Amino acid sequence: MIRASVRTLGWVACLALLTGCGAGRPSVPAAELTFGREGVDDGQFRMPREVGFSPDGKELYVLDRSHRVQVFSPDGVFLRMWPTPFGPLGNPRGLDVTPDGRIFVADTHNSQVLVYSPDGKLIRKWGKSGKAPGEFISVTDVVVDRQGYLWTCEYGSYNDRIQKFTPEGRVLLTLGKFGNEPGEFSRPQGIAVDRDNRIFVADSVNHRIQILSPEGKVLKVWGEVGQEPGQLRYPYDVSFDAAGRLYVVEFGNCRVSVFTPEGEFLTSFGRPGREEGEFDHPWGVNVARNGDIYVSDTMNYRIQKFPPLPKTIVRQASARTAR
Amino acid sequence: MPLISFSHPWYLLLLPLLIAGVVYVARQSLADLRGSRAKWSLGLRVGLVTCAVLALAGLQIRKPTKKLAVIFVLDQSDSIPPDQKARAIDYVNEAARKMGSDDYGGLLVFGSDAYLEKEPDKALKIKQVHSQVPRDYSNLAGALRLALAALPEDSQRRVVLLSDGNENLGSAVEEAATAVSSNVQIDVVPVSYEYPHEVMLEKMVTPSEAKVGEPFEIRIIARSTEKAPAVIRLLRNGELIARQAVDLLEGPNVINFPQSLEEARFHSYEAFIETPKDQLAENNRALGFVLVKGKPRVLIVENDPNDARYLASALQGQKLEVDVRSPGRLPATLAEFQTYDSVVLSNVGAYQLTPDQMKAIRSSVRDLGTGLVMIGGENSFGPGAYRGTPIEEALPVDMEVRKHKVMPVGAVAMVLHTCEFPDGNRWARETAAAVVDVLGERDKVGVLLYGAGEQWGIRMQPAANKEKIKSELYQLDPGDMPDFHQIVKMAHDGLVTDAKEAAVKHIIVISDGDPSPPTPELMAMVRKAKITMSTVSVFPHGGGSGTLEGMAQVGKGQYYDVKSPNEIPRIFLKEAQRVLKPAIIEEPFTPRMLPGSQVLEGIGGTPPLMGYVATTPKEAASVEVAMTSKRDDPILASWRFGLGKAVAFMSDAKNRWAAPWVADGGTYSKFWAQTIRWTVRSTARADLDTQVEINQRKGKVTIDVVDNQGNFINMLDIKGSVAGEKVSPQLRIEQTAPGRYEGEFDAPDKGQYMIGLSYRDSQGNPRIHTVGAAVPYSPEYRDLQANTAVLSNLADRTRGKVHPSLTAKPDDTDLKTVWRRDRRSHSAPQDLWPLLMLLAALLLPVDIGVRRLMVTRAEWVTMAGTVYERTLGRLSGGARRRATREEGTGRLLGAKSRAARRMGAELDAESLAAAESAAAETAPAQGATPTPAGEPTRKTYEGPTRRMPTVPGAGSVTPSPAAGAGGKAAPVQGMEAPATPALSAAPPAPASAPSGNGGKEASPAKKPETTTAPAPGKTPSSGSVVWHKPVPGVTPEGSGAGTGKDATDTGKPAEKPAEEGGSTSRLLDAKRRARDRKN
Repeated sequence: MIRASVRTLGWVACLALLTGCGAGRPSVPAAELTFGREGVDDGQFRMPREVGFSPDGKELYVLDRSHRVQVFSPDGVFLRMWPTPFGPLGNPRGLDVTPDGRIFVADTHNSQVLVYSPDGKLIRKWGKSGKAPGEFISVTDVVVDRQGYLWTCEYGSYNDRIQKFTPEGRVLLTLGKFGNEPGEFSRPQGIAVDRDNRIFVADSVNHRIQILSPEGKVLKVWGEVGQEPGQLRYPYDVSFDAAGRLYVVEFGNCRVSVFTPEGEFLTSFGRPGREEGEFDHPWGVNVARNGDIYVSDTMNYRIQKFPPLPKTIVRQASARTAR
Repeated sequence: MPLISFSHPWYLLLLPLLIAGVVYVARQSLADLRGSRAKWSLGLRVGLVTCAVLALAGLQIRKPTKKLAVIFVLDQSDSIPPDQKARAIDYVNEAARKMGSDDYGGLLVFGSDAYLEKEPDKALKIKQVHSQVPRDYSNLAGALRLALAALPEDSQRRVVLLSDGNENLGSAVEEAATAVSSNVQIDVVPVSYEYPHEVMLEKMVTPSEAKVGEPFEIRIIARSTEKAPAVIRLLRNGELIARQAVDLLEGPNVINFPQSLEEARFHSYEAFIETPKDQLAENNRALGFVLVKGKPRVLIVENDPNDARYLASALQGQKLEVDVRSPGRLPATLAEFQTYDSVVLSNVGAYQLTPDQMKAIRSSVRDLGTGLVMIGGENSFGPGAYRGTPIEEALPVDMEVRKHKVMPVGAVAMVLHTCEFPDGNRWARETAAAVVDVLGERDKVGVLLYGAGEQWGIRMQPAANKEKIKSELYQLDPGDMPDFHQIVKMAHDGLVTDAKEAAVKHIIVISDGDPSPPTPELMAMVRKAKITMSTVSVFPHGGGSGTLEGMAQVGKGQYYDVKSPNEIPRIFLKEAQRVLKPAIIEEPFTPRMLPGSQVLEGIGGTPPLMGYVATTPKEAASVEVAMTSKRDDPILASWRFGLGKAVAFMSDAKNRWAAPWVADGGTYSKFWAQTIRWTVRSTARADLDTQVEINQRKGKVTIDVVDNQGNFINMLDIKGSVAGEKVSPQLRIEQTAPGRYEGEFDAPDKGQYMIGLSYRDSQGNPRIHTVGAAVPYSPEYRDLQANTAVLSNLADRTRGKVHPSLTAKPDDTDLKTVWRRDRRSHSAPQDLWPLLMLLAALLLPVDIGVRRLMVTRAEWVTMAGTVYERTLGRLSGGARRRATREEGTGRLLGAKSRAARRMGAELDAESLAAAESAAAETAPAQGATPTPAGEPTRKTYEGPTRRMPTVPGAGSVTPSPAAGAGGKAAPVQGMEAPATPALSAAPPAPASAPSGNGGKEASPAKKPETTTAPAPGKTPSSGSVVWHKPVPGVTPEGSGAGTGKDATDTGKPAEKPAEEGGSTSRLLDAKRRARDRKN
């Protein structure tokens, strides 16, 4: 009897293996669309790092390590591209689009901010390598707040800080330094603005989110390192949806976690892997106006698009809230 | 071609064996199954095994295909002008636009090697060629070979070759034969070009050897395609010595330069030609070498010239010419090293030499007879990171210190961050491997990287099994690390805990500087633990260099800003030196002299030495250790390495460890003069007249040997060796005619080749003769027009098409013919193994089902009825609804009775039977094919025999008291035999016998129909699947209680004893289960 049962179980296990049944791994939501592959041709990527949208939501801008901005339709159809300054020092990392359609690019390793027209014409650029106000070491992201001011985050050479500029590029504010106290940063990688014009910074190596007032005052710091739901591991980018939910892409945990702006965990999706819905060290996340979520799945050399998060996910009692 | 085929047909041999096994096992294990079930089960198992074996054997079927795959093969060699290369890409793109829906296009590029740029795909668009193809040769054959392999088998196949047809490696025509046999066509698009104003230098002819002051001529052969004025410049040892204007005629021209050399050394000549209209600059160079014998020259390489002065003065008056140079001024090429007859490396670290210089020194010693001396110091031997280098190979000692059990060790943790330059990660891995190579067996090494988080790629361990560590290292793929903090923390912890015995602990970080720096607190910990940290910045990003520089500064190490990947290995070697210091032993000792040494002849004793570097003598017969320390470590060792001699002196030759020697003066001078002179290359002049020609990557050496009277010298045993810049090919010299000797060697690369020839003269003295030859430029620049004959030949042999020559505007009609279908329809094999494995997987549960589940025909009918009732049946009229209601009532009653049992109510058998029979009575109404009342039972079941009630004629069966009272057995739930023995063991009991536990089950004799058989309307899970095995001749109870009831009602219980027995036993089982639950 026992032997028979063991034998039967053995076969069932074999069958499960044959048919590819797995167990124990959490389910992943299906990506609605996946596009791109490794390469430097049109529509291909070398480690895509950031995504952004035109104001009408009809165009998707993607930055990767091939010195260019590629433009796609929301369905992933390649439309056009233009090159960013080529140099031995690397490639742009961050991007934001203003309501009038101008595209601000954080040209990370060239220590400058580039401003493009929607058709790819370089309108303006400013910044140079240095630690003085208005200069950058490695500027990682840029965002335009609701009053039109520009915020940048940067790191490198122990110069991790946030800067605020006028729309013309005049520096107004410089805050923060390298460290792990509130108001200090360690590789701030992503920056976003919420409905109340508060500045959210993905303080990646400190594994936390810092919230700043428009005047640069630290309002709140939340997040703890770990891989449990609600914990963070190298948050690399932040983005808000229309409902005010904060999406945090985690480079270290290979997932996107969704929080209330106050740090209450709502949900997360994604896990390490190469299948659809899985990520390999993602760098960027952005939520379209219609709620579609675009993730730059960096080491899988692709962009993944997910359907909007149900509106019902707004606030759940969670044991893991902000500290 | 057969319709089916097997990729691994030998596996079919398993089939009969496995089938026989299955049949055997079936006979054993399926003995309890009978009739069709046994046959079905056996059949299924055989089917399963057959599927699995066919899958293993790789069953394939062939399907005709319409697919056409074309690979464009682009010649990227240097002979193709850049504009033609661009046109070739345009041609491919234009042709790709004509692709049909079943067409696949791919791209392959080649020079001396071929690279598949794009596999055949449904779309093909090329912007530029990404592959870095070596362009100095054209290997058409190699390109065609790869193209044939890359074309998919399941298609009609064609290669479109865009080339000038000039091949200088392999034979494309031979490869065409393979294409024919593979049914692949080769179309050719000739790439034509002309160089009407071209001038090139074909050759420089020099004597291989000359005497001091002897006049000779340098002859330069220039070829021109037209009459043209030209200027020729001649350089000797890098200095311009002549500039001559000439008027070139069409064809070859010879220009002579008379020469006479006063300096005895190896002289290299270089000539350049310039004309106003010349089109290719690459072929305007020629090289030649002349050796002038004189006093032996010794090169002393020392960091500080002051330190070398003792040694240099010791060699004065020894008829030796001495050059002292710093490592940075060391000769770069093998030819330049031939100026010297012995090279002395005095306290020079491996990182101060390039890998090419080390190879040149090794080749120079082994192949060309140069001497080598390494003198100790903190940058020599093991601490100089020479372990595993070509120099160690040439020395008589190993850097590994095996004798000392308690020698302090070093430990290094290497942090690898992804390097974002081409092949960056490979560089990082190879560099780390180089460090592993130079470490001692007891030194410890660990490698950290960012993969799925910060991790030890190789845990801190002794570098004993270097090959294993390196093989693990080569599998590492460093990722993009966000932060240095965590990984430096891990390195610190690893060094502190796993290498606590190490005297020196060091961290090396290689990165582009992107990660965030470690916190000051952590760096303070690192310093407190006496761990040093060096950082290597590779193509740093913006502020990355600042981060790394800061880390090295705080970590008391060194910061390196690498501009070229070539620098990385040297830096790592230098860094590795930090942990190799323990091999230095600083203590005064008087060297022990071992007798019989040729090197120490006449030296009786020496003053003491103050220190040395520990090494181990090589285990070779020619190694002679002439001096040792008091610990028995070698101090002076020598050996012959190939044609040359090498000496290792582990102490130094300056005012540090050898201070007493320097002070002594006499012994010092005598020792070093003797030692170095012993290594100097034999200067006896060889009477060889040697010519070397290199063509088609083959070098040919021709030697004529005559004596002073002009007589041929025969039967000489001439040994040859060749040292190129990258390779040291074999050279075997054989006599081919009186006084003439010849040999051939491979010359795959352009550059210089030095040929060493050695023999013993009639007096038995060794003689070494060195000649040089060079391939000054790629043979690609010799071809001035396309070789269309080769291209046409390829097309003809494979029935391909010769397209018009490549032009700026390819013809549309012609482009379409690239995708023509004049190949016979191809059939492609399609693998069936996935399907077979799926089938096998599906058969498995069916087999289990057949053996383990018994679904009677009536149950099938019932199930069908249920399905019908719940689907189409719902659409019918009131009668059906009534029946449903009745069924509902019956079900309710049945449920009630079961509930009562569960609750432990003491239902009497009658009331229980009444309840269940009421439930059963409703059943016929809902069955799809109800059995009419009063009709005899249905056909008997023909399934396999069961061992259950085997007592013929038994009116009822009562469980044995043991079985009933135990309260543990639940045989009914068992899938197999256990139910059976309990029942079969039960003795035939009177029909009215009470149950073992006195339970109130119904009397089987009285109410045989009141079994626990389910109502037919129930789903299979609740009862239509009966786990008991039925008895032949017994009406299956599961077919419906109504049927059972009818049988009883006919008043013929005696005619159905077995049936009653079976029903009763099930009833009893059910009751027993109820009791068990209660208990």
